[in-house]
Amino acid sequence: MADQEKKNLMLAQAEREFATHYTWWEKEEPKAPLPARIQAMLNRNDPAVIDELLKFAFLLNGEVQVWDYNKGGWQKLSLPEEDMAQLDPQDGSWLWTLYVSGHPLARKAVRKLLSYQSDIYDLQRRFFEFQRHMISSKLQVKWRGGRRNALIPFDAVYFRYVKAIFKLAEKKGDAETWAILAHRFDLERKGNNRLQTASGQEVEIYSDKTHYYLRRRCWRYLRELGKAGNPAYIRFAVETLLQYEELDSRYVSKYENGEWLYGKKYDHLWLFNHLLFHRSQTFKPKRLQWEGVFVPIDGLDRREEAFPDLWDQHADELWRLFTKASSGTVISFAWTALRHGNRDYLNRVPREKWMNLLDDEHDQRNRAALAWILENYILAGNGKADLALLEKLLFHIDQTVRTKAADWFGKHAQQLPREFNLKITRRIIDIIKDGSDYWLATGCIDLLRSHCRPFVSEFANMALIKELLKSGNRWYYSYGARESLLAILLEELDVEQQGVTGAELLPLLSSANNEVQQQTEVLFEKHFEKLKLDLDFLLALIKTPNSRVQAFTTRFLSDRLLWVVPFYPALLPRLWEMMLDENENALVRNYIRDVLLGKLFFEELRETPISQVLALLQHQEHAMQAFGAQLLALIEPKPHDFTLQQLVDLAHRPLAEIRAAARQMLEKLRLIWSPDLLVNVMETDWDDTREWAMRIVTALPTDEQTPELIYGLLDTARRDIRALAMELIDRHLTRLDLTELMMRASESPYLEVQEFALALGDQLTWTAQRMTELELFFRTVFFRVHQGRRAKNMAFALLERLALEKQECAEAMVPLLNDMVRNFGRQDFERIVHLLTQIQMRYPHIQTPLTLE
Amino acid sequence: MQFQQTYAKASNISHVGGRTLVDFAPDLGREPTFFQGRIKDPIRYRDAMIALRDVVVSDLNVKPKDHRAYQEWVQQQYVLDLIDTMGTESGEAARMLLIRQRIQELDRMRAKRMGPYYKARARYFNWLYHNDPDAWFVLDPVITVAPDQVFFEAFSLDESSYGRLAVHSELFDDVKDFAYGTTNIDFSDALLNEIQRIRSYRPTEFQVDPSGFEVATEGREVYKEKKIDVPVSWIRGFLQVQSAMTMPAVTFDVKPIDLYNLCTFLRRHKERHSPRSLKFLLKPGQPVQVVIEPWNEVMTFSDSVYLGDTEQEIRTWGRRRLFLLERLLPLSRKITVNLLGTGLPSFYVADLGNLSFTLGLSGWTRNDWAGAGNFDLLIGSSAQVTPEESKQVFSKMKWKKTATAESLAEWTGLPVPTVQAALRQLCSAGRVMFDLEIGRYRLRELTRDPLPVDQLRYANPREEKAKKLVQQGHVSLSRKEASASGVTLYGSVRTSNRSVEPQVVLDHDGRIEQGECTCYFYKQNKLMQGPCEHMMALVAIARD
Repeated sequence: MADQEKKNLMLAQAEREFATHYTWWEKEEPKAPLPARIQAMLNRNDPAVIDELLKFAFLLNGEVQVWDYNKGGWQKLSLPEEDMAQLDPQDGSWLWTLYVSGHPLARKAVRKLLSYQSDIYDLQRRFFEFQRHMISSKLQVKWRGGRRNALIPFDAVYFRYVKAIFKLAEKKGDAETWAILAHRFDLERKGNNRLQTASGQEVEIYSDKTHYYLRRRCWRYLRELGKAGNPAYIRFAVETLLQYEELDSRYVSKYENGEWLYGKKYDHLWLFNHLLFHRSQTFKPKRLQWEGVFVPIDGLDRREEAFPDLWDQHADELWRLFTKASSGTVISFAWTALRHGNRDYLNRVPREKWMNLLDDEHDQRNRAALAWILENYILAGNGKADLALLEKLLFHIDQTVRTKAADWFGKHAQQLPREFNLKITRRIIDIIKDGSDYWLATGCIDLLRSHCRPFVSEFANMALIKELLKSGNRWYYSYGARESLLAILLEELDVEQQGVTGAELLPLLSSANNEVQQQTEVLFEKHFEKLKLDLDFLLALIKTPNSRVQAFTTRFLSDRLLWVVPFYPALLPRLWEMMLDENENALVRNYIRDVLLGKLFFEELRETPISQVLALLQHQEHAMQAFGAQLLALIEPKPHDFTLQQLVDLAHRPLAEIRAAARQMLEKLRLIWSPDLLVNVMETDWDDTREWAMRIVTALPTDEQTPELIYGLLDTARRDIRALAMELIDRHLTRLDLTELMMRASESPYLEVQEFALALGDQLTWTAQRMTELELFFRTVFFRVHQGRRAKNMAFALLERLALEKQECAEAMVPLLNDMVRNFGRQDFERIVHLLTQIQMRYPHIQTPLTLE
Repeated sequence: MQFQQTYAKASNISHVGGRTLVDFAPDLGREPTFFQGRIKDPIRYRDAMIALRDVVVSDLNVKPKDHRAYQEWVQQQYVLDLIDTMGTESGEAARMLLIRQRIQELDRMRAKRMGPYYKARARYFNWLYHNDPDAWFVLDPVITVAPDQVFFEAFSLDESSYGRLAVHSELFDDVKDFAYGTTNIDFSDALLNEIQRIRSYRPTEFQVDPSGFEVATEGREVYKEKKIDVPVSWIRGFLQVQSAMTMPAVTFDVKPIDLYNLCTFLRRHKERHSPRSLKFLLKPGQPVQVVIEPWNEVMTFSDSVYLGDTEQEIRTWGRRRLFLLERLLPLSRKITVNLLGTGLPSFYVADLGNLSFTLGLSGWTRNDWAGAGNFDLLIGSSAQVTPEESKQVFSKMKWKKTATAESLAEWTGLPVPTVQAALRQLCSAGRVMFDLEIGRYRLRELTRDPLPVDQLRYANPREEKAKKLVQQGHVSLSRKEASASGVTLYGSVRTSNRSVEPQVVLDHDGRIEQGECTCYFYKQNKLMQGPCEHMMALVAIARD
């Protein structure tokens, strides 16, 4: 029979039954048979049948595709052929058959099949070997908060039988199966499952109306039970409440009365709210749903459930709910109900159970257990505290437990023996020192700061502090706690009693932790007389390359200058050495220079020897030179404290103030100036000094503008000074020995002076000796490559004239001309050859390289 | 490579009381070396020192032009073009133009106001540039006080020129105090001006100041301590060039006028393309000729006759470094040219009477990978001399100060080849140098501690590999094809597991212009890290 035909037949039957109110389900007759292999497993009582059925449902209802690495594509996984031979995928009645079979394993299987699969990916991994799977969205059902996974959807294939199972369960009192479906009805919204009826109408299988109806029906059923005082109410209610999970709520936050509140919202649920908040004055059901059901994270400490008396009669069930429920709100409800209505029951619960609940993974449960333990076990009735238990709680692995225990401890610490407090303090210190548990260490610090603080002084000693300093890397995650402990220990440290020295505390000054550093500074400030601070300590302090330590040092020393005075004779020379030691850290050197010697102890440097100041002034670092200038101003040296050469050097320093000071001192020594000195002062790139010297020279009386001075100026390396020399030469030409001037000018390496020398040469009387003396000069002019054309022409002209005037000159110049005759420059070559020719012709006995024919 | 130098004071040249004192501060971290005497011919000394300084600061590496001003102008023009394109009707264009004009006006006002400041700043920076010793010198010059002379050595910034100024003992009189040895001297460019003021009419005292050594090491105040990080390539270049002095060379003398002519020609002409070499044409019994490429200008040194046996051509590059000798031409009697071979270092020894100046030039000016593998740091094969033998030779040198290989062999009882190998090794380690002038080895410890030769041997590991490939005979040159731009070499190199085919294009100067190889290194890096060892090996055998 074709699928569509089969479907039509079934639909027609269903419609007939509906129309005639035929309660087929009451007959509890099985319908479509189970696959033979599954039936066989049931018959054998094989517990694996449950998984097999889940896998069966997976493949039947979902579309599972796996990646086949061999074929390189997605392959649909199918049920075994034998199953498909017997099965009609459109007929979900096998589920009904399974339920009515009555087999215990079958019931269990039905419950698992009907439940939401929160571990669907675990199922997938367990059932299927391949790594890559795709699960069809067919298996995803909607609810208000999103989607859940169900192996049996409420669709045309199954819903008829789901309803039947629901009704049968209700009739038979099968609370577990009923609860699973009640939970789903309460939560699940309509899907996209529509059906075309035989008459051609399209209907929704599980519509919102169905959803609203069914959940109201569930509550109605329970309400009737409850009103009748029927214990079945509790059974059914417990099973139902056990189905709810945290996923069923929506986490929300709201701003109320000036604070943010965080909690869970349950407006979308009906049955759940009636069970827990039926008597609530705050939460109210409306026509289709509740409004304003906001439960804080920690739960409500009031009872609003339906039929509280009935609940109070079933403390066991409440305890079961408390220990097994998945939803925090349910746990909170059970706990509140037990505390308020069944305290005796709680008192009878063995201690081990409470301790086990401390390790429970649900916060609500372990907090409740902790609260109970703290309230009832720590302080026993006879007034003695169970300290071992308290200690266990204070250092529990769970942070919440530790926090609560610490709160309790804080409130009751005074009632506890001192030895216990000391023991706890010691243990805290050890935990922080160890540092392996970050959260534990961090939590312990708070405890140490608050309740254990009075006892820290018992343990505050340098040995412990040193141990804490030695161990650990600052970037280790627990180091923060260690540093906090250090700060606390420092605060409690009895310096005098412990015989602590400044040297021992010094490393703590450079701690990167502000608290530690500040505490150490406080110790130094308060107890500096007891800390045995000596010169070595001072030097070590100054040598610490840390700007915060330096700021502290400055304050510390400024406030205790009188105390520092006896150290001066040893301290200041050491500071000076350190300042100049290039191997010393630059931060330290700059600090010594700019702050200590430059400001704090500056006045003490009045007696600094001039040689040391000069060394600073000649230092390659500008900052040192500037410090030298400062010192110079302090020392107020007399000009006679320096040699003239030293003053000249100072007048050439880069720092303007040094140059100015040098010039002032030189002014005072004018009487002993020599021409060399003036020239040396002038020979500088610094405009101020040079122009000052030039003004002095220009303003000198005529008789003081000596030839020596002029020659010296002419010899300088600066063009502007040479220009000044030329001016003076022009002015004093008649007073100068031209020969001397020419000889001196000829030794200058500068072209314009050489040209000047050649010009002078024209005016002199020449001899062979002079020619020989100036041979190097002429060579310098002629061998100047690609330059000095004018000078060369002047030299040629001079030689040409001299050659014709004096034989001795001609003889003297021939070697030079010989050396140059192979000049490839045409102009020079022509002139040389011409000159040699003239010499050859005039003085035939003089040997030249030319042969005249 | 880190070097530390400690000076008690700054070197200084002072002109006081009609006298000049040239006062060099020695490195206090080395063995005491000092000297005090009077210079008889200050002018020659002055000019030679300036020439040495010119060698030190010479840097003929091409510096890219600063196009910033041009780029700024282009940007401004772009904005103006944009305005034009938008059309004057457009409101935005008009506004842009107005703004542009306003900006220009503001720029002019700012330039006017800030002008003096910018000028002063530029002058100060210029002063710093010329007076900052770190900018000019890689390592302070070295001075050696020997029994027969005091000499200075220095190496240029561009790692291509070596300068040695030897002041013979005849140039000194009134020698007061001395201690043989080698030291660094504090030398700054600020001394240049003072050197230029030296004159013959001012008696000139010369000293390497001994006073710093008189104070105990600890507690001594130092003027300057320098820790210098010297590039390995600089050290390598220095040792390469002066180690090359030990190699056999073709030698001939030239007159100052010959170098004058050569320099004048080079100054007047600027080459635009390669080849850029000086080609020395050497025919036995004939005057030496030089062909200046690419103009093929031939100069004949008619007073310089080649006395060798074999006719040969030797090409050298980086010829503009010869300008460093210009200052010495008036002082020189002759210049002895020593050529080691094409592309190899060359030496020019100027005879200045009682001074001599040696200018050593590396094969190329630019010490980059294009010339890779051209010249190795030739040390004696380690197989030929043991460390103990080397030590023996060195200790004899320490005693004798100067020696030939033969005399050292006699004193140590070692075979001559062993001594020669040891001497080459010591040269490479900077312990000893070969004096071209006197043809002898001199003790000269370049640095306080021996230099690590193994680190300096090759510019990069591929050079070493290339050398091994050549030595093992794994390289073969298949063919050579000449072209307009140069020559293309094709070859194959057998490696441990396969064969690779390098291909290299050399320009007319023999430098690597292009290259390819089938090896992994080339595929990864192309030529960005220089040629692979296969290309280098191919070039090496082609040159051989």
